[in-house]
Amino acid sequence: MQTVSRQAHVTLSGDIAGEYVVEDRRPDGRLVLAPNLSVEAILARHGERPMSAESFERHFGGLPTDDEG
Amino acid sequence: MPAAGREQIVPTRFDDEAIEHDLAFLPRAATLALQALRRDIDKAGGLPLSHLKGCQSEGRDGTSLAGCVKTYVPWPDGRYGLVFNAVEHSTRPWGLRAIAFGVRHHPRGSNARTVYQLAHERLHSTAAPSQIP
Repeated sequence: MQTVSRQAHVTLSGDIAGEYVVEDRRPDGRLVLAPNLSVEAILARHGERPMSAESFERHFGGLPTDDEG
Repeated sequence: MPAAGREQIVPTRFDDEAIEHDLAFLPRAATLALQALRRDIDKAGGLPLSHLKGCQSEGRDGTSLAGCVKTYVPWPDGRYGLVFNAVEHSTRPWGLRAIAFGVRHHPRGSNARTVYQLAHERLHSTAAPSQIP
């Protein structure tokens, strides 16, 4: 599953603020927006970055795994 | 370094926009199960390390969740799963950010996505900085 979806995005400010993706662009110019739920956007909302591979291995490398996901 | 004999607690945080979106597609039982988990997390300051499992970088279902861990809700064998990305912050301690909540397994033939497929999509999705096509 090498899905890499790229959707147009907009940044809103005002009564509603934040990163949104454009789900649909109607012929009359209306846009259907949804919150940007990419991990990139989720982490950006909280000022975070993915843990480095070395740190991940140090903290979580010993965790058990199973056959699902 | 955790004290001897004391369970290590991993700081665990949520993204309300993502979780609210996920709950909108799940039954009431899922909301109640997640509420109970969040109360435990608030009380303990995070999740016990023993309640976490590693995700697979190349899962049998085609998902790729390197850098992620998961827990089952309720622990240890609940119907729902919560997938986290391990994160760092410039001033806060390292920890986990929940990126997807949903059903672990759907009946054969179902078109609904599992929590792993949802997490995979979010992990590998990029909002294009380009114009609307």
